[in-house]
Amino acid sequence: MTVFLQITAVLLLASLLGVVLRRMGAEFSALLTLAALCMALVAVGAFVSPVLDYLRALGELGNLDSDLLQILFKAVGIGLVSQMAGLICADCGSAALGRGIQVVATVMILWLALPMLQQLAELIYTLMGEA
Amino acid sequence: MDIDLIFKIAAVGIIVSILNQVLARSGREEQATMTTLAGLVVVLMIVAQKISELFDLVKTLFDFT
Repeated sequence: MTVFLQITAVLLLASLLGVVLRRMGAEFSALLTLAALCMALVAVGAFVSPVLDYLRALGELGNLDSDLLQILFKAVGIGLVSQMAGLICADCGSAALGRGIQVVATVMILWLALPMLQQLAELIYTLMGEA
Repeated sequence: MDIDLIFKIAAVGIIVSILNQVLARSGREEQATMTTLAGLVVVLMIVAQKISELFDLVKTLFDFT
């Protein structure tokens, strides 16, 4: 709870300082926003690790293929990073670049999910063959 | 959390902005531009370190090899 309040306070402070810097020069405001966001995400990273470990343990309990879980985790990582980067680009006035990041992330996630989709297609084919 | 970083970036931004205005009004436009660029490079180097830390964390957490 303390960490949450600290992170919230830092981001609020960065937001207020950003308003001041925006009058003087938008570039420093954007860099301040980026730095604050990176700090907050790094600080919260320590709390994400036990959650992911628990999900891996659940996967092992349910006899899920670890490769499939890895694909899921990578997809979540790509999604998070691309969303943050896209929002930063939009804040800087480059909505097109932000959208480009989203498109690249979508393509990468689809590419990662390809083995999973192939397995699914084979399973459906097998089931249809048996039916 | 290194909250000093936020204040450092804000301080550099404010100082560079003030210097920029002082130099521009003194008729030294080129020096004003160079001061702004220098400040930007300094802040960019600091922020690049933080971005690198974040990406290393994402790689570690989400099993990117």
